[in-house]
Parts: sequence; structure tokens; C-alpha cells
Amino acid sequence: MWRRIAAEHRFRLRLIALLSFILIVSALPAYAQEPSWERLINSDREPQNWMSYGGNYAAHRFSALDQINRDNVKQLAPVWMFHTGELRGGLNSTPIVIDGVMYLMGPMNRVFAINAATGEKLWSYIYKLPRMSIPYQPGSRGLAVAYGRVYFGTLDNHVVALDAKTGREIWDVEVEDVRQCGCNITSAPLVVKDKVIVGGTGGEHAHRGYLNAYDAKTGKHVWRFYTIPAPGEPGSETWDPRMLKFGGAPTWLVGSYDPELNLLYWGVGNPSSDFYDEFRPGDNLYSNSIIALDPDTGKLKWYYQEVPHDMYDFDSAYECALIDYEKDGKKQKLLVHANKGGMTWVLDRATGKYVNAWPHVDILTWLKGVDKNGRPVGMQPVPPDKETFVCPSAAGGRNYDHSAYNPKIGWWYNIGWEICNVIRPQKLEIKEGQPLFGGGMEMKPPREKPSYGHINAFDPLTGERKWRYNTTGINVASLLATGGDLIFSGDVMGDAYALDARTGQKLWSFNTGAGMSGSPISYSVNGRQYIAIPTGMGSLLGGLVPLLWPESAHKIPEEASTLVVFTLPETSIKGAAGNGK
Amino acid sequence: MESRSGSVKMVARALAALFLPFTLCLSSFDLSLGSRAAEPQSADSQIEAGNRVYLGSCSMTYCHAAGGIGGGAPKLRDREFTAEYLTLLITEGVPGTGMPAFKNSLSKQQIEQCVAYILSLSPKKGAAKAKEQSQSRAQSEAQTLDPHLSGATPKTEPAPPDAPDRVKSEVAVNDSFDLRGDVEAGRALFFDSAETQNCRACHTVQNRGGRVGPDLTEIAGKPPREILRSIVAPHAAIEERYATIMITTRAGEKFTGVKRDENETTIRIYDTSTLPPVSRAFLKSEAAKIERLNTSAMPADYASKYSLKQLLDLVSFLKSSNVSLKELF
Repeated sequence: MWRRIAAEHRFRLRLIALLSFILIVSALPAYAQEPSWERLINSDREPQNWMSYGGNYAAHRFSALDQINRDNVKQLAPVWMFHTGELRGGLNSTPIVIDGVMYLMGPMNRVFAINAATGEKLWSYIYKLPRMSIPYQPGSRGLAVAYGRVYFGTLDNHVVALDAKTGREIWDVEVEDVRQCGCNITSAPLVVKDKVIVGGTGGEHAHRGYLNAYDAKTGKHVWRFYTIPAPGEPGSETWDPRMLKFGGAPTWLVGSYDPELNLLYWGVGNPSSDFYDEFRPGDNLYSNSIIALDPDTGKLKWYYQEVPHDMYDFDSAYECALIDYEKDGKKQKLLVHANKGGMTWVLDRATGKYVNAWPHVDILTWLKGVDKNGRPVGMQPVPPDKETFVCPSAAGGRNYDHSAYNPKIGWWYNIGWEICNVIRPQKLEIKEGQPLFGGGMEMKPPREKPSYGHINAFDPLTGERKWRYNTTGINVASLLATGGDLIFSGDVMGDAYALDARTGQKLWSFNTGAGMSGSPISYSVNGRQYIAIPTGMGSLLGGLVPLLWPESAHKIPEEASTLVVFTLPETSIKGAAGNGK
Repeated sequence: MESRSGSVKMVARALAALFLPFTLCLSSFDLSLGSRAAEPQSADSQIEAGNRVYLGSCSMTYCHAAGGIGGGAPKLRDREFTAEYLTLLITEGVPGTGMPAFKNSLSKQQIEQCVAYILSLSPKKGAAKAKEQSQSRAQSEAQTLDPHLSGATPKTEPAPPDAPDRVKSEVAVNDSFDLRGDVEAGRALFFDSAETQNCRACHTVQNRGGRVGPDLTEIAGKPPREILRSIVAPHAAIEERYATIMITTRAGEKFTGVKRDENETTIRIYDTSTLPPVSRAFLKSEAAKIERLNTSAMPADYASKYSLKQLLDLVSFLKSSNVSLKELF
């Protein structure tokens, strides 16, 4: 009898526990879904996933997976492909993979969830762009996934949140009318704690640049940091007051975040107008600067300007690689940053103090050197209505094709383009939201030699070069470093390839049939490591190839927008778990 | 310079009050019927009863104080109120101020008594007018029910509790006070990208700006006064297309805004509870209730947010001509 009562009691308790569990789970808002902030900020613990744009919040673009390595990379073969169905814009993006699901941003804001092992489409969301001319480019560089949601910016300057399981739209907020500002969003947001932080374009328009933060749950606007101070604010004295509203300084790529310092780092682009500088005497803060913000408030903690009073379109918008550098027992928290002008600046990321600067390209005409604070000296004048030959070009010593850092080896891998241009600044009327390039440029090879490109391994502090690999034309795709001591990328003629991270020797290539300007990633599902490489140029930069290498023009591949995913044959990975789960 | 700027701000605040009646017009219908249905009382007993209501509800020093001399809230004696206006105000309250709605705490009869008492505090102005207006109540009701009609006939509209007299004296006493709006300043204000909560967040003019509220390109044909009223008293006239709706989800969350679109399964609204507005998509199966509200989604605080000069600039921009203050009266 007592036993029966006890058994009933246990049954009731279990029932109550089960019901409570169901109640609690069903009461959890979608917002509480995965991945959590804890997972995102500790993404290095989950090498099977590629959870954010830069691979981690330090922009390392490093996957610790080592199943594919220098010994077996030759066996790498395509296993599935995914077509976005839209050729305008190619495929410039960085896929995200979380727990076996890939989230891919295609051109024209087409978003997909894909089974990362098979390539099966799980859902798609095609953003409805209004009939309008799209400023900048029809491609997009990516999206962010957090809290059960997919976040992205649009070509008509909205920020959108989708349900990561279904692709259903949850919220959509306009940053500013694209017709008013001439700006939009072509890169991925960065989720920091409860906020979605989004940069934008606008450096070639009469626009006042900014960085915006939205509440990840509700889409409510939380803060805006203007990259050009308001009248009377510190830094406003570095502008002609008339340009404070139109000076550009966009935030068109993606920042980094240091959780220990609680600092958000973001690179800021060039001032408008790009070339004609008589509108804007002064240093033009915070154009061409790295800004460090409190992500909770958007308040400026420090800034470092790399190119004061830019006249060459030398953005500082590129990724901020956060590298903990240790040598001879001395530890340094560095921020390593490739500027478009072909110089790499190294800063103390806690304080913003200058540490070092060194060139990552061979040919620079625009400066003679830097002073003790890293400020360029002997900057080349670019007078109005005259032609001035400047190296590197306004396309950059490289462009948005990101660097990678292998923390095991301690080397930083970066791309270099040896291209010059003739700049002819011209005065033009300033009208809000209208193009404000301020002249034109013509791409040219360097004096007395053809254009060329390369990938280099550097000591990130000293700039000491460890090796160089000469690329086919310019390399417009980003680099991926892996725990298998490999560097992956793809070239403009269609070859996906792998280099030995220790020597720069090319170990593998595969002709995908389309030029590449996206960002490769690595992930694993069920113990199998994959390399995913976007193909399809899309980017304006693809147009440089026939200009600079006319002899190759007839060989340039046709446009595509396809993700090609590679893995090792099943026979060669049996029993090899790698670091994947 | 400073005093002029101060007076301009005062006038701006006064404008909020000036156009407030229209905010409340839409819900005035049942009130009028209610008061008509009340038992007739002698004027004195009505005032006496009203005094008791007043003492219990209005007379605290941080409100209107004893005898309507004014405390934290505006004075109520020696003013030019109408019975209709006071009835509306007491019943519905004044959104965005400390004036609560008394419709749930006082009966219609008590409100009528209170109104009688307040009118008695202005023997030379309000009481006489009250008598006059009680004779033409039917006509007044027709006017208050039609905000366009009321707005277009300023002479017949009721006076607000705070400062219309001040506004008029500013204009009448000082003829040199010829404040004029500026089209370009209005354009800059409308489209100011540094301000996330300004007009362009919701409205379009000449293909620029937000799509949440009406396109204001065509508003240029309307009188300046009407444009100003739509800015400072947006609740007065609401286009059906832009009516506020409230969605209550099955989880009990409430969202208000303007409907963006809908299909068989989904409804999207522009949530205007914060600006810039956020478009939210709901599965219809998630919504426990979708209801239309009798308020505008547009913020009602522009009269206090903007100075009179800024309001004139905005009206001038929307009219494409520099409007003077006198054109508003």
C-alpha cells in the first residue's frame, strides 16, 4: 500500500517536473535561442563551427580544424555546391556555420540556410529591394547569427532580423533613406552582447558616416556614433565646418571586439570628397582611423588616425586583427591593421598608442615614412586639375580581402597588390547624398614593371616577412588559416587553392570555373572537416583584371554566384576525428 | 535676444494647447449625448455641486489650486473656456501632461457640474459664453465632430486652457513680432540625418524619407494652419490607411503601430513606440487580438519638442513658401 502511494507520489513528482520543464522551455523567448553570447565570444572552443564574420571576434579567420592538413590536402575534392540564383554581385560573403547549419548571404540580399553537410537548402529569404539604383555594389559580404536569429544589413540601408530556424522575418528597421544619404549596408553586422552593430557605406557620397547599434531582440535603435564630430565636439576643428555633414568617413566593413577590455574596434573609411581636398583642410577626424568604442554606449574610448587628411582614398575600414603577441616573455595586446594605402599599423589595443608601422606592399609613393607616433611624413601632394601618379592605387594595397592569423604559428597572413593610379582631383558641387568622388583616377601598373600581387606571411609586430607567394593577378578573395597549417583562398581566374602556412608553397588547387572575391571558411559536421569557398566575382574590383592584364582578358571566367564546398574522400578520413565533433 | 527666444518657446507651447481640442474631437460624440441626457439642475446648484467635485479632484496646489488660481497646472479663472472644451478635456485628459482622464472616476453628471463650476470662475468671459454656446450646442457638436471644419474656422473654436490669449497678445500687442518660417531651414529640420526622431523617419517628401506615414508632398495645397495642426495635434485627423493598430500576441505582448502589409498568414506593422519605427512581422496565428485604436501613431509632442520658429520652418518647407506666424491665426 505504502509502496503504491510512494510510487504514485514519484509519478506525480516526475509529471510535475516534466510539465515544469515543458512550461519553462516553451516560455523561453526565441531570443534565448542559440548561439548564446557565451558561445559566440568563446567561439575558439568550437572549431567545428564558424560562428562570426571574422571566424572569431578577433578577426583571425582561423579554424583550428586540422583533419585537412599539409599531408592530405592534395586529396581535397568538391562535395557539394550551392547556387544563389543571382549573378549580379557574385558571391562576396563569409558563410556562417553553427551546429551543422550554414547561413549564407548571397547577392541582392538573398539569404539561405543550408544543411552544411549535404548542401540541401533548408530555407531562403529573398529581401525585396525597391526599384532603385543601388549605390556601391549589388553584392553583400555577410550576415550574423545569434540568439536564434539571423541579422543582416541591406542594399537599401535596412537592418533585418530573421528567425534562424525558419527564415521568417521578425523585424526590419531602416537606418536612413538610401536616397537621402547615398549610403547602404554591404557588410555583415557584428553582434556584441544584446546589440547588433552595423556599419555602412557612404565614403564616396556627401554623407556623414556613422556606426549604429540596435537592440538584438526588438530592433530598437540604441546608439549611433558619428565618425565625424558635430560642430563644437572634439575633432570638429579638424574640418571646414561646412563639411561636417558631408565628409564621408564610412564604416563599410566589420569591427572586432575584445571582451576583456570591453572595447569594440571599427575601421573608418576615407573622407569625402576622395581626391579633391580643398573642401576639407585639416586632419578630418575620424576618417582613416581606428576607433575604439564602449559597445554598451557607443562612446569613444580612443582613436588612432592612420592617414590624416587623406587625398588618395586610403580607407582604414578593413578588419582589426586582435593579436596577443608574446616574445621574450613580454606580452602585448596588439591591434594589427592593414590600411588601404599598403601600410600596416600596429597599435596597443588597450590604449590606442602607436607601436609600429610597416609596409605590406613593395611600391608606395604617397609617403616617405612615419614619425615616432606613426603619423605619415612626406605625404605626396595631389593638386587639383593635375594628374599625379600615386602608388598604391585607390583600389588599395589590398581591398576587403581579409587577412588571417594563425595563433599556433604566430604569423599574420596578408595580401598585397602592386597597382598604381593617376589621380586627377576636380572640384564638384556638394549635395547631400550625391556622389562626391572629387575627380577621377586611372589604374596603371607601377613604373617600369607590370602590376602584380602576392600573399605574405608576416611577424605581426615587426612586419618581418616569412615568405611570399605570388598570386595570379590580384587576389580578391580573403584568406583562411587552418590548424592543418594551411592557407586557403581563390584567385580571379577561378582556382581555389591551398598554401603551406609555413612555407607559402602551393599544395592544392581546383578550378572552380569562376573568379573569387568572397571569404573561405572551414567547419566540420559529424567529424568531417569541410572547406567552403565562395565563387563569383561580383565586386567592382574584378574589373581591374582586364585593365591591368589585358593579355588575360579573354581567359577571365564568366560570372557565377556559387558556393563550392570541399572535403577529403571518406576513405582518407576514417578514424580521424580531427578537432571536429 | 534671450527674452524673444523665451517668448517664442512659450508661444510654441501655447500652440500645443491651441490645437489640443482637435485631438479630442474624435471621441466627443458620446459625451455630448451623455450631458444632454442628464437631469436639468438650477445653475447655482450645478455650480455648487461642481465646486465639490472640483475640491475633490482639481484643487490641489500642484494642480489647478483652490478657486482655479493655478498651481502646478494652469489657472482656470478669468479664461475663455467653453463647456464643450472643458468637458472633453476633463473626460479625456491631456496626453503627455499631468492632466488625467476623469472618464472612469467621475460620472458624466459630475463632469458637467465641474464644468459649470469652472465656467463660473470666469464670470465676464466664460459664463457669458457658456450661456451663448449652450444655445447653439447642436451647432458646436457638429463642428467638434468635424475636425476639418473646426480647424478651418478659428473664430468659432473653443479656447484652450493655456496661453491662446498669450499667443494672440504676442501677435497683436507687438506688431513688429513678424516671425516668418524658412523653407530651407524646414527642409534641413525635416531631413536632419543627425536626428533619428524627426519627420523623415516616417514621412516622404518628393521621394525622400520614410514610408510609415503619409507622403507629405501633396500637403502643400493645404492652409498653413491645417498643416501646423497636423504636426502638433496629429490625433485630430487620421487617414484610415495610417490608423494605429494594436496587436496582442498569444504570449500577452502588445505592439502598436501602423499596418505595413499583410497576407494570408502574416501581418506586418511599423512599430512606432520608438523611433525610428521598426517593422515587425507577426504570424496571424500568433496574434490573439488585432484592434484599431482611435489615436495617431505620430508622436504628439512636437509642439514642445520644436520651437515656434522650427514649426514655422517645417510648415514653410511643406508649403514651399516662407509662412508667417500671422498666417496661422
